[in-house]
Amino acid sequence: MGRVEHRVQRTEYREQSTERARIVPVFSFVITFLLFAVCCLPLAHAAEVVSSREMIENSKELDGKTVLYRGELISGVFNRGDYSWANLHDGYAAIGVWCRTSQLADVKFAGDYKNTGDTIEVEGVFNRACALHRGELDIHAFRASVVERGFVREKKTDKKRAKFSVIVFAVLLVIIMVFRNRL
Amino acid sequence: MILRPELEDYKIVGYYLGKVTIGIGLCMLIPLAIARFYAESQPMIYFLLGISLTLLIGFSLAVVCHTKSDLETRHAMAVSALSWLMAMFVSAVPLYLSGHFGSYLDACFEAMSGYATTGLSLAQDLDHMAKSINFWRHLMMFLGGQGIVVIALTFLFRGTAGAFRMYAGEARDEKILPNVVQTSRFIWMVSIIYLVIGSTALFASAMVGGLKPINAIFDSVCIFIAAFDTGGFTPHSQNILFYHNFSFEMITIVLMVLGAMNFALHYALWSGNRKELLKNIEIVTLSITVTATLSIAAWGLVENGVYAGLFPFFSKTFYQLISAHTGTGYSTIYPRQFTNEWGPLSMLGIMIAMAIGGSVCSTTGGIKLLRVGVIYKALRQDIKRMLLPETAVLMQKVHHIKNIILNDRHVRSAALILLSYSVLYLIGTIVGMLHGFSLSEASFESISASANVGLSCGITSPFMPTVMKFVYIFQMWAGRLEFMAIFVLAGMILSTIKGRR
Repeated sequence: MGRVEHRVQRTEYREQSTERARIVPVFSFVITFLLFAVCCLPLAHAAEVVSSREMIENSKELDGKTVLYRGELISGVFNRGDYSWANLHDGYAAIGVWCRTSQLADVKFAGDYKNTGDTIEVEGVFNRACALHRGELDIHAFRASVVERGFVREKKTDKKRAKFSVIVFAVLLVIIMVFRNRL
Repeated sequence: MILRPELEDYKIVGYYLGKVTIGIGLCMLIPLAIARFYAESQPMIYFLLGISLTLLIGFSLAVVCHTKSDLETRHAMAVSALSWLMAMFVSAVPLYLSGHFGSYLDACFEAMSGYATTGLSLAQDLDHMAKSINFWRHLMMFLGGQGIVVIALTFLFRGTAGAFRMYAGEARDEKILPNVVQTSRFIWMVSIIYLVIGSTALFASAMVGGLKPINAIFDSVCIFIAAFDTGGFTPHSQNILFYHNFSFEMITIVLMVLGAMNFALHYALWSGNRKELLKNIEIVTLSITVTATLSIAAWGLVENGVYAGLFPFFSKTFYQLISAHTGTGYSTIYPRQFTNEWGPLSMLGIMIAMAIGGSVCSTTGGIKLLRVGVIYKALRQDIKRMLLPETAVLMQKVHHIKNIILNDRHVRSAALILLSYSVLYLIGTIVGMLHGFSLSEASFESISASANVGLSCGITSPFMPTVMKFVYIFQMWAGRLEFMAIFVLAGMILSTIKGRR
């Protein structure tokens, strides 16, 4: 009785193994395909960087499309809780980018008189008149990363102009002193 | 026969021009202090040089043209007109030295735009501009909004009859208080009280919006100045869009409307006369023209299907319209969006609002609400006269602080200014079209410059033709002074050439 049961179990085990052997390659093919598709998806949607000029001039054509945009962070990140605003300037105009605050955690420099801001690359949906933000032209980014670190701008003192201003100031003082009665 | 001016006439003009120039030089001490505060060493040198040159010119004029004679109307008008040109030339020095302007002409354009409270800008790389230079741009709006001569009246002159003539030369012909110096001081007091309240409100909103405190303070003061003085400069290249902040926009709307109100109306309200708000011809006209121009702009936007939801639609349309009507020029859209998305009909609505402008004796430009109201009333009176028997006596009243019986002198004055502005708008439009811009674009920019608004559809840029820069500078200057001072100056120059002794 015991041997018969054992044979039956072995036969079932063999059948299951054959079934597994058939499923595994199919399953691995599906997984590989899906992984490949996920990796290629962003490339298929936005391969080229779109400039602010193109977005402003061709806003109707680009409305609702996924764009790749790159620009210098101006002034700072405006934290609004889970999400933040970042104004990115690409040399023509600055565009407002709405993204998760965590995506901008790596930011160190914001552009102003003393600093050149970090260059940030974002990928997201371009809105000609965003319904969420009262009709603003903006990008809702699902990816943002610092691609070039900003730096402190060096300011050299203009000695020539400094000397000239001292001379003019001295002449002015002389005039005031000499002609103070006529003023 | 035209009489050639005497040497004494030139001396009077030169002496008072010198005094106003000294005043401008002293005002440059404020951005110098700001440069020191923010440790901006390079701009400090630019301001030192600017102050020294300005004071040198001012003192030299005062010394060379020293006189004790008082101003007559023609002198006062000439001084007013020349003061604005002098202010432009000397104030452009630190701007040009900052390296943010392609040429000295561009810096002069910026200075005139600031003083005339226009807001059209030729600044390059504005987002990296030093805070002191940026503040100087805004301070020029404050000085120009108050009136350069008003400043000089407050601090440098005694309350002479000539002083009032200079005050009138700056397109301010209302005496709110019996004495012109008291009037100037009242204007300053109102402005400073609003400065404190407005800047605090903007600061709170900016902080909630995520700005750093140091930036929030600076931006709120700058934005207040440019909103209340209906100027339109902003510290950033994105204009008001930079802040992505609804409450910030709402506060600027309130400030723009306050800035577009007549200082006499401010005085009436401050004195407890709140009923004036409902009866005043300027406020009534404003309500009608805002409704009409808003409807035109909205119609165009609906036709083009620009905004999907009601809230974005109303928010964008109302903001641009109020900004245009008050002559401020703040914007929550990119300049090119006017041409690319809004279309000619919506732009027409904005253009009409810009052309009309705000109240007289305020910081706005344009034809002004009082004149539009007066011309409408005169037209109604004439139609009534034709319908009634010839023996009927008609009397038309206008309520502006007090009841005024409308007479031909009022109508003539309003019609002349309307005609002058129409010609000025036309000149810029023709020049724009000669340079290849469409009618809607050329007229939009021309009206914006002449009415001292500052909204742009993208024409104004450092790369625009030089001729257009000169034309827009002239339009801003003539529009701000409301022509009379410039006509008198032109007359003086003409009489110097062709006049008889």
